[in-house]
Order: sequence, then C-alpha cells, then structure tokens
Amino acid sequence: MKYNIRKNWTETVELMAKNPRVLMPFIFIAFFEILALELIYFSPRWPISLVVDPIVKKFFGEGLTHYPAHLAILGKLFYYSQIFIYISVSVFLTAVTVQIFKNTKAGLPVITGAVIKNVAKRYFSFMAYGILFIALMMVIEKGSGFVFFKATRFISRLIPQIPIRVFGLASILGVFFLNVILQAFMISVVPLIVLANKPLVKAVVRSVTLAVKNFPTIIGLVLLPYLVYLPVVLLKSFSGAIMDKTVPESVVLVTVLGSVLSIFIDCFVILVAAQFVADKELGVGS
Amino acid sequence: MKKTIIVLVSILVAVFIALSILGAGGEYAAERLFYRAMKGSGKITVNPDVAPPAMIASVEKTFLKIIKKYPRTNTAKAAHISLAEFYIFNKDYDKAFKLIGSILATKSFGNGVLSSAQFLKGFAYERQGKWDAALREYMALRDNFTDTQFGIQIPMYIGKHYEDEGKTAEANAAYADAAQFYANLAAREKGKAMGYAALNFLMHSYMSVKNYEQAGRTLEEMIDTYPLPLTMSQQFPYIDYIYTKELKRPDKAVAIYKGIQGRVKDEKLIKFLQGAIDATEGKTKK
Repeated sequence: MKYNIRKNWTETVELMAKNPRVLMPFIFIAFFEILALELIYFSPRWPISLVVDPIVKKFFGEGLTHYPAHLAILGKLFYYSQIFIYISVSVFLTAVTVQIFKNTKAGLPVITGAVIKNVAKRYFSFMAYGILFIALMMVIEKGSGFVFFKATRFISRLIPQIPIRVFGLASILGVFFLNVILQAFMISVVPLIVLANKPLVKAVVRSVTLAVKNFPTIIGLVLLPYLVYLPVVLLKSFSGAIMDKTVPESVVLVTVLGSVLSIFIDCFVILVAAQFVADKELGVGS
Repeated sequence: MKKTIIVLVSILVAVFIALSILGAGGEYAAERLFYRAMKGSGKITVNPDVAPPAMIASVEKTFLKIIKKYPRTNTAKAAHISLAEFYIFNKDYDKAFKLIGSILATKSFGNGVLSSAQFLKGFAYERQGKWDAALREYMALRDNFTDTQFGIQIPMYIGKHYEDEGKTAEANAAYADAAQFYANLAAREKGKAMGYAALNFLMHSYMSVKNYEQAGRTLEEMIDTYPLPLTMSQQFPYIDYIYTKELKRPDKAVAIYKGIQGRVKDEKLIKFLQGAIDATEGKTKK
C-alpha cells in the first residue's frame, strides 16, 4: 500500500503543536551551538584569545586572529564545534525527542528525568552513531569534492563559456542533495534504537534496508523540510561575498539563523522519521 | 518550557554581554574601526575627485579616532600610515607632510612604520611632480632604512621610475647605482636573509639593463651561497629565463639543474628538476 506522506506530516505538525516539549531537546542543541558560536566570535578578544590565539595561529596563521579575517574562518570553526556537539550531545538529545514521541503516542506521561535516564542507557550507541554519520558525511564531502573538481575540468573544457560560478553553485547543491540522500538512509537509525529497541548495528542495517525499499517515500518525507534549510546553506556558502557587500558580522547572523531554523527542521524530520518507523516497524500510528 | 527557554536565552545574552565588556577596547576594537576606515578609503581613492566631502571627512575622522583612542595598538601605527596615504591620494599634501613628520619623529614606532613614512614623504613629493625632492627622500630611505622592505626595494623603484618616463640614460645610471648598492649589501650581509635579498635584487638590476651574463653569475652565486630548497624554488624560473631564453645556453641551465639535484634531498624537487632537465634537453635536440 502506498505510504501517505501528507498524513505523516500533518500528524507530526499536530504533535509538535500539541506537545511543544518535543522541541526542547533541539532548543538545547541550538543553545549549545549558539554558545559555541559566541565563544568562537569572541575568540580574538581577551580573555578567550589567551587560549584560542595560539591554536588559530598554529593551524590557520597569524592573520586569522585579526578582524575581519577571523570571521572568514568562523564558519569552519563553527562546523568543527558542531561536529563535536553532534557526536557528544545532539544525537543523544535527538533520541530524547524520539522517546518523548514514543511516550506521547503510547499515552504515557513525559517525565523529563525518566526520559533522559532511559535514553542515557544507550548513550554510547548514540555517540558511535554520531561518529559513523560524521565519517560518512566527510567521505561524501571529500568524494563529491573530487568528483565535482574532475567534472568541472571536463565540462569547462567542452563548454568553456560556462562561468566558473555556475560550477561552484552546482557543487554546493550537489553536496546538499547528497547529504539529504545520506540522511534518507540513516534517518531511521535513532528511531529504530529507541522505538524498536534495536542494537546499533542492526538499526543501521535496518535503516538502510528501509530506505532502499521505500526510497521515494523517505526522500519525499525528508527532502521538502530540508529544502527550507537550503537558503541558509546558500547564504553560508556565499558568506565571503555577503561579508564584503554588507558588514563582516553578517556571517554570525546567518549562522545563528541556521541554528534557530534547524530547531524546527531537525525536530520535524526526526519526528517524521519516528512516525514512519512506527508505521512500518511497529504497525502503530498512521 | 517557557521558563527553560527564557533561562537559556538569558545565559546566551549574559555570556554575550560579559564577553563584549571583557573584550572591549584594545587591538580588536581598533581593528574594527580600521576595517571601516579602510573600506571607505578604498572607495574614495578609486576616484577622489568625485568623492563626497562628507565621506572624506568621515574616513579621516575614523582614522584619527583610532590614533587618539587606541594609541598603543599596532592598528594605530597602521592607521598613521594609512591616513598619510589617504591624504596623499586626496591631494591634501599639507596634512600629509605634517602627519608624516610626526610619524618620523616618533622613533618608538619601529623601523617598519618609519620606513613606510619615509617612503610616503618621497611619494608625496613625487605626486606633486617634485622628483628631485622625492629622490632626496628616497635616498634617505635607502641609507637610513636599508634593512626594511621599502629600504631595500627603493633603488629598483628609482630605476623603474626613469624607465617608465622613457629616460634610458638616467634609468641605466640608476640601475648601475642600484647594482653597486646591492653588491655592497650582499657582501656585508653574506649568509644572512638580507644578503640573499640583496643578491636577488642585484640579479634583477642586471636583468633590468639586459646584462644577462652578470645576472646569470649572480644567480649562480645565490644558489651556491644559499643552497636552500626555498632558494631553488624561488630562483628556478630565472635559470630557464636567463640561460635558455636570453643567453641561448641550455647546456648551462641543465648543468645548474643537475648541480641542484645533487644537493637537495626533497624527492618532489628532484623529480621536478628532472622534468626541467628533460624539457630543456628535449628543446635542444629539436
């Protein structure tokens, strides 16, 4: 039977509206990310500069400890901090959201302490999943970078009239859509661990299998919400030009906007995936 | 939930305010102002004749604010020089000379800043069409600030000035003076970075008067005296240019390449040199 994507989305939106506490873990993720961003933003100034300056000088060079050059590497430093937060906190808090979803669907009370305690039992599984996901994402980024480089060289030889900017944009969009596809394959892992009590390896295998068998459905479920995030991805990619045309601090605003937006998008996507897993694996819900 | 969000946002705001207060003033604040002033200055100097007076006044005010408010910062030193340049490009020579005079009187600025000011003094005369006065200042720069970037380059700059004006005899005399200056400096500073720089300029001064025999001898002296990978990579193009292209002696170029090959351990450089040897020998056979 054809899976009803619209019904899944509607139920998810209703769930978020009726139980806004499902957003709470993502608000905490955004809090940690913005806190990290603040520390990075203030890193060239006293007192943080005492610790950060030698590190930045060692890995990026003296020039990038000064204004406005340090804002040019803000995105990169924030990306590294996001990876750390993702592995240590974000996957765990995502699991907390799925546990809240589970309790709400089962009509059980949502007691914060109990929910966290329950999920914390598998903290290291979530951490391992975080590492796996980041590793896959990096492979995709490096691999696609290489492929895009070769493709750009090949196409620009064939049709030299195509401006180089077009290739840059195509590369950004390509990486974005490859990430969405990776998400489609891995999105069910956390819901499978929490909802179906599967161990990590089985959850990963099952998530991939589910994606293979229901590829159009899963892509349909996650693509549209992620498209909302696309303008922020593009703004981040062209942050150098935006900094030049406006004020250098605009890069900070774009990054904050991204973190705030991801509260809703990431929460929505994981709940959509949880609903999908519940429907397919447990035969409950829609 | 609302309470938690208020607490989290309050923490972020408190951290932001605390770090803003702790990091206020100093180098970073000066750098921010400097960036703003330089951006404005860049726009004005493109076409100073049509720049609105209010804009010019605003840029000047910002530079002066940096100098007054953050006098002990490195940015304030840079602001002095940039403001002097700004005055020169806006043909405000009285203000420029007054400022340059005050910079030159402040020995604590260090030779880097002082030599820049000395150059600007000559440059201000040059822009007014007073070449003799400019030349006096440039000679002072050469003699008093030899160990600075401006000081070591100025003899070549003088030769180039005459060359651009089409005054061949004066240009040849200036390059001959430059060669004498660099030869003395290279002998005095042998084995030091300054000695290497002097030999490099000596080679260029010979090349400027098309004395490629002498340029080639200087090049070989440079490679013998400073047998570092950096020397090899920097001087590599000149071996081909002088011996293959100008003197039509590719055998000599090959001999130099082989000599370097025998000295260096870097596999990449050895391979690169072999490529150059093959290419040069290939050209000879043809």
